[in-house]
Amino acid sequence: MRPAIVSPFLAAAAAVLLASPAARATVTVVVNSVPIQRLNQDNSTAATHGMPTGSQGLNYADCATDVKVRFTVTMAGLPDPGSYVQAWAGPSDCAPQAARTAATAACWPVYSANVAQATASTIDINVQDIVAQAGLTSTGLNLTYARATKADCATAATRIPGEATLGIYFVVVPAAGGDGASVNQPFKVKLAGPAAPTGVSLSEGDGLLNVNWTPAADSTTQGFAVYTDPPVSGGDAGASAGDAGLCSSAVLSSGTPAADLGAYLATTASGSTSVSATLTGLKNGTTYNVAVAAKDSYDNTGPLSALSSSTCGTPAAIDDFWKKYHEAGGTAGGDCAVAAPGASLADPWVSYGAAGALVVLGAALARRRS
Amino acid sequence: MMRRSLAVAVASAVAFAASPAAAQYAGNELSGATPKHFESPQHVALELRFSPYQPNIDSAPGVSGAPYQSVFGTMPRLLGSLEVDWQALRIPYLGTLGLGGSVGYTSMSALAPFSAGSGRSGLSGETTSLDVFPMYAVVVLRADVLLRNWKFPIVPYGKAGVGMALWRAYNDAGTSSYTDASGHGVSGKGYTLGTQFAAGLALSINWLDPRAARALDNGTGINNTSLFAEWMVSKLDGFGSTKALYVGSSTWVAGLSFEF
Repeated sequence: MRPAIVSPFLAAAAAVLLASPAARATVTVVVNSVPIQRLNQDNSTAATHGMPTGSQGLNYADCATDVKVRFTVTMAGLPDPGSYVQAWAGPSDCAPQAARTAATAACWPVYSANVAQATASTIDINVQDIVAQAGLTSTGLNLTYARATKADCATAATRIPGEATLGIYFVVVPAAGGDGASVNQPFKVKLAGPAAPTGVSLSEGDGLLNVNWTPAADSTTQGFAVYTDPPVSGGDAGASAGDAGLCSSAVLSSGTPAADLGAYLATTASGSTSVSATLTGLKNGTTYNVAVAAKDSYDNTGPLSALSSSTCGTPAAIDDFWKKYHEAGGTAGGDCAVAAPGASLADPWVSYGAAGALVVLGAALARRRS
Repeated sequence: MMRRSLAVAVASAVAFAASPAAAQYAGNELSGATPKHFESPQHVALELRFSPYQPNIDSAPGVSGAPYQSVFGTMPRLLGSLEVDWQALRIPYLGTLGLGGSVGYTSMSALAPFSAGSGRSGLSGETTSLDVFPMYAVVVLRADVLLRNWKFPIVPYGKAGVGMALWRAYNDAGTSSYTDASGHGVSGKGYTLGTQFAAGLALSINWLDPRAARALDNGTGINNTSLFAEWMVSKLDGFGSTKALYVGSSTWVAGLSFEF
């Protein structure tokens, strides 16, 4: 018996061949899995994070914001009318019954119900349920489905700080129990961000702060996020806002996971070797506390750098050359630069490049004549 | 001898990688074969130019005090530039007359002081900078009769023409802007026109190793490699305008030139 084609729209299908020695029949479980639908609990499309594994990557934000992934499971030709499908997660195959029993369990249930043989069934699996028990030993696993919570995200992050591969196993369980067969949808999971930068220091300018830091040695670092309290656009709402000289912030306490600090995000710097950023749009005379966190390729944000007296600064007006020149009586400026058509006058390199190109062209023509 | 040959070769390699023909020629030299001696046509001069540069901003009419020096100090910055001359005309018993063009770049930066009214003193952590992109077009006369007719390796030359510099004043937040008492904002970018003059001497280093020089000519077409020094007057003042940023300078220039 050939595998049943359930739907032409099941672009990526995984087939499980259940070899029934008695019937010699082939049955199929088809899982609509690529691309994986990532949804919020209200079924709106969840944010993506630019992870290297695309929709098959899960990060801390997916867990903390309670994203779910959606599958369509269709069974056809199962020899045992009473068999059903369960969804389990684990680092290895959950098909053997032993992998789902207390003694040597390596898997944990991620769906509350048994999926009976039927037409296509939609199964939503919560990321929190997928990662909640990751990294636990068999003796610590809860083999009865229980809805995980946001708190489980943080505890799981401490158990699996690096990248891990977890599979969701759709296990066909015979009515009589025992070993089943499974379709596996693997996920790359990384829940913890890189270690915090050290040596954060500031220098002050006119409505700006230049921030410098030393990245921690962490191969997963892909960039940095810089936070200020008070926030750049938030006026004096922060803990230490406007209190000149007060260098403390309850919001930016060292080590706090920065995932919920979006309102305090001042800027980001890409690249694992970035060591500085310039914060602009700040208010002169307001003291800002600054903390830096590293980000990884999964878009996880690591812990914040420590606050100190060198991590708070107060922007103030400056006298740059242009101001000094005009205050001394100079009247130049503001006229049009010579620019290529369509080029921004703010970029003299364009004009310069055009002039250079003309010189080179002239030289080439002269040489050709020779 | 080896050292001098190496000097000529290294200097020339700055501008041109050795061609297969040159490699072949060198092979013949090593094998003792008699090299062919010819002089390729010469129409172009290329100069790599370096000079200290201190713009004359503070000497502009109407500018009191020394705003440039108070921010950037008195130490000149390095100007690097490239000049290409087309030696269009050869004047018998004198030298070449042609047209030349040059582009260059120099920049100066310093930490800006806090404003007096800010309640802070000393230098801020913000950098204030000025980029200048000088360029010019000149008529060039090179009196190489001494070199060509009497093998005396000195070539006097002179240049005269017009110059222009693009410039931009900026700080960490971008292009600087100044708002005057009437509320009129002036962006810190623009250009300044002016005149350009120079006179100098070039020392042909072909005489250090004539065989290597001939090999270079055969292989790459470079007739002459020279060290030069000149006095340059870049009078970028908007032809006397009082609204120009005087970014010109009078300074000496040294560099390396190749004629081919």
